[in-house]
Amino acid sequence: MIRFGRIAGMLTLALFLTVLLAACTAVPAAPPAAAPAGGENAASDNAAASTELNLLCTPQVQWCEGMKAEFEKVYPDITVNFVRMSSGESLTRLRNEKDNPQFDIWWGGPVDSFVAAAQEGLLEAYDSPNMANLANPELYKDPNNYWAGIYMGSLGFATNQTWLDENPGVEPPRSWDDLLKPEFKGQIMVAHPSSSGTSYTALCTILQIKGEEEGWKFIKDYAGQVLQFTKSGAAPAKFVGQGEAAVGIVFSHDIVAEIEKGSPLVLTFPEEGTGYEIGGMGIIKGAKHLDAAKKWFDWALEPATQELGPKYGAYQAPTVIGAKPSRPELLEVNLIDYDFDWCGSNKTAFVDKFTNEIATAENLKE
Amino acid sequence: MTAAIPTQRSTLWRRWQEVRIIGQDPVLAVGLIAVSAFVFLFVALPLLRVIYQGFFDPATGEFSLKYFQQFVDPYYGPHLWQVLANTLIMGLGAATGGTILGFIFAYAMVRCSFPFARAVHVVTLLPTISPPFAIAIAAILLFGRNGLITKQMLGMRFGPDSNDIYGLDGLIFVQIITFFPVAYLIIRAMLERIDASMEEAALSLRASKFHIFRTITLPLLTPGIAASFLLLFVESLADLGNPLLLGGNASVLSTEIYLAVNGQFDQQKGAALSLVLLIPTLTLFLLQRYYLSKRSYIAVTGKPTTGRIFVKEPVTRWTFIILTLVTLVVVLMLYFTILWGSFTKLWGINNELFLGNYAVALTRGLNAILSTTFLSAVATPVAGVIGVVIAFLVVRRTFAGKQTLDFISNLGGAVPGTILGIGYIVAFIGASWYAVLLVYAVLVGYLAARVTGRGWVALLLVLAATVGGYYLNWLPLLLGLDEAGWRTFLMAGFLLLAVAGSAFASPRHRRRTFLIFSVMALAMLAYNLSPYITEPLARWGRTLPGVELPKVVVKLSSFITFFLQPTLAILGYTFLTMTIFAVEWVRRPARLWIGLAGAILSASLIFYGNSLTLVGTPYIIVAAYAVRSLPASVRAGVASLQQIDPSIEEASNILGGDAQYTFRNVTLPLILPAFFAGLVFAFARHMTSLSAVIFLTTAQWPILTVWILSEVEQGGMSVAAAYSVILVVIVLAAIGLMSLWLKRTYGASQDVDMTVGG
Repeated sequence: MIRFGRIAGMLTLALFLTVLLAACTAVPAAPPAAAPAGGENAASDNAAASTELNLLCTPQVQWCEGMKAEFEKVYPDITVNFVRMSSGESLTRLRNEKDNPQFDIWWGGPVDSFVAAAQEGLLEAYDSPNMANLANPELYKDPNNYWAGIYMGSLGFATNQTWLDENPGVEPPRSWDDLLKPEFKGQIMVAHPSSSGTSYTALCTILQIKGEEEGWKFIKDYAGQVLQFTKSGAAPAKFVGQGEAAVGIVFSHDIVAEIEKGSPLVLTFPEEGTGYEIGGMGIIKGAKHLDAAKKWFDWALEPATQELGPKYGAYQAPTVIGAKPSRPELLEVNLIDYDFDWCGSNKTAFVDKFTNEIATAENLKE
Repeated sequence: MTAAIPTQRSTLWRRWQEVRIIGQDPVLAVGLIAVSAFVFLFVALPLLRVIYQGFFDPATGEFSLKYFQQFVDPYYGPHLWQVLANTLIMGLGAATGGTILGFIFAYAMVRCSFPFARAVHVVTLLPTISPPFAIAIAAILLFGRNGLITKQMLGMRFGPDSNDIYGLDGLIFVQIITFFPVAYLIIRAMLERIDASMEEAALSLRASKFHIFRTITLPLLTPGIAASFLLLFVESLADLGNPLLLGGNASVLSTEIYLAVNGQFDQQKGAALSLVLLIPTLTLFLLQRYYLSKRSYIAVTGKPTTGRIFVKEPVTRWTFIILTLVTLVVVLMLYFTILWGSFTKLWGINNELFLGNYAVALTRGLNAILSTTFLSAVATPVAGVIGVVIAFLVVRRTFAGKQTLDFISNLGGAVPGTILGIGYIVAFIGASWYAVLLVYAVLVGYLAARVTGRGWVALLLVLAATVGGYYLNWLPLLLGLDEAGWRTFLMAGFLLLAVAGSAFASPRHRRRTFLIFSVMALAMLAYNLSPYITEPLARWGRTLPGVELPKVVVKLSSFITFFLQPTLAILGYTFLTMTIFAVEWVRRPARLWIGLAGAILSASLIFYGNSLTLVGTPYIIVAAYAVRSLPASVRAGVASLQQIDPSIEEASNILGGDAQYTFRNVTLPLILPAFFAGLVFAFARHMTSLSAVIFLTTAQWPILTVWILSEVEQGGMSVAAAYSVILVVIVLAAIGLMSLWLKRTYGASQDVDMTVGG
């Protein structure tokens, strides 16, 4: 009996306490809510404008930094935090953080990663009023508005001039097949397609030019010529400029940027055709600062914004009407009809094949 | 059979008694629970999750041995075995080379009266304070294809198939240089403790020098040599930065894991490969811990023996001295290259003095520099306090699970950081409810045991608190409160508790009880008010002129947020712990009700939303840092506690001081100097960690080492070198400040000892 009494007593008291607490809120809840002076809305108020934007940035870090500063100039109330990650890494991050996204917008990097991200439901569709600015909406945006193109660039070869001078008779490569020449053995640098969108664009370009079977055979041969696979796509331009390797396969605008900095590089293009990228941009599904992300999205599709690139060493061609390309010659080369859908949907399979087959190729150094 | 049962029972009973003895002292018990919870959440749980993940498909949740089968698959197999072979060759090469070099250094220092002792000390310090891939950067600058020595001085050309710094051989070279100081420290300590009398005895019996070395010195040194070999092997396997920069086409496990997780988004593959990497690591770790440590022939007295022997033959002596000198010159040159490289515009092309790299680093990387320094600093006392508590428990108390606690706390620093990093992502991307509940259950269970002596009442209290806390979170929904309103509501609860608690507390402790509960209420208030401080601060910061100043001020506001708006589960656990202390002062029977109310309010915080979703928050980086430096902190704590004779503490006990009084007034002052000195090492370790945090950085909290790694590819070697120099300067400044403070507070006898690591 006593036991029952105790249990009952305890439960009543627990209940009582809860009720008491609930009752108490009616009184003390009022003052703290009013206490903060200034008359501004509480931060937890979702209607209030975001003061931060977490940017996942894939192009070169200098451009990311520059765009952050430019955006903050236009929107002084928003602080942009950014991390630069290669597109493969970025995609992984977004997948990891699917249930609890840390980023609001993803800006830059070849669109095949954006195609993949949209398919997996990682992106938020946004029909920006500035989509009308796009020069070629067919190509430059997702039909369901999950992503928009913000720049365009072609693949090229960077060759170290000093190395050419030291090796008379050697010509910079002018076709994909030139890469297999014996003088380039152990002298080529390219990024790893699993982490880099640049490198994946190159891989998919070769497969499209040569056909799948022939293409893989070629890739196997050419992997034997490679000195080291880097993590980020633009890195080979850096290493080749430094003289660590002779030839790099990089987007041409990154090569131009290195030349501008004083690296002794020669830019050539493969004559049989080269691949190109459309740099994408998309809002992350579940973004915590959606309003700020939309502001960035609109802003990035303005002609004035797209002309900012060269200021920060980015020579990609713009995608909107009214923005002048800084280096139009980079796109006046033989471009292949790059199939973004095919490359996007086969990415996992191709990268897997590359990782397992190419890295075991017998002709590899060591 | 019949006799066995009682013994078993009595063992169990004894174990239970040990736990009860600790349980009687709330400070000790809470300390034990807190460190166990930390070690469980941030070491055991992530590692277990990685192992689990290796066997299960994350998409379907089905059991699969996919990635283990690939090892025998003719398509995937060759590549994987190649990777494994590369990894083992790298590990063996680095361990052998590093141990030999370490031995030469130690022998030259201890036995050959080496003339440049100070330089050796600097060299042993350098790897602990520089980013883990600094040597790789320097090696490329010096010995790369366009390196200063290889190309410009020796005029070497690298044609097809020529052997260069890239690839396994270069990687092993760089790892030897990076890790050999660890071997040196271990072997030197052993060599110093060898009792000279044995060798003297052999000498007087006319044994030849080499005979003595072979039959006496070497066997005595074997445990040290083996220990350093194993340690270097594990360090080499865990290394991520150097293989990423220098591996060439030779892939090793750590880079494969990195690419699998970061490039291919294949957590199962990453986890499965981690498991493959974990097996040799764990085997060696166990071997070292349980086999070698028992084979040590030398009593660790903590003091070098008095008699010392010096080698007098010039040939032996000078061979060792010259070898050491050459290595010293190479190592110092490599580090000097980083400094020099950071001041050149384009290494090898345009070598004029240039400060632009620092300008780039200090503007573009300012956020990373500030964030990393801040998080490292925050993690330092966390690791230090947990380390001391574990050390104290291990040295001074007996309880079941003591060995396990010690083992797991060491494990966190021993496993490759990438594995821990994957584990953190897997375990904390969502709330691991069973883990949250387990920690909560232990805490609330102890609280219940403290407030009542009856088992069933305690059980009821646990139930009531859990159910109450859970349903308390429904209340704001019913009342239409938003999150801030809900916190205001909780604050009111804590305030009420403060009043009630102090009313029922024993008169002596009234104020303290009130204080503890009102601190909780204040924390809730601060949580709500923090935007009103940080937002105007950030807004004001953005209007400031220049590039750096706004960044600093905006960062400052996020530091404030860090403290004022912590993850709710952490807050809830802290409140629950504080409640345990506070109810001690409340008289029975009110104690029960106050305890229950405190538990309900804390539980409400712990159960709110995804309370332990730590990925993306800075707290997980702090945890990763603390876990990585924990073994060193524990070791430093154990070493300093072992120096204190227990009789001093016993004397205090006999004179009437209780356990807490004794710890506060006797033990603590004695170990404090060593504790502070150990903190500096922990800070350095945090600043230079890469592999454990590479998956955890966010836009708001970038990490300097990760940033440098990406800058090597983005900004070039020179910028990366500039970042490395900045990192070293920050760590050196911390060491300088700490030793200055120690000298002023504790006199000249104390110095910062950076050799506790290893």
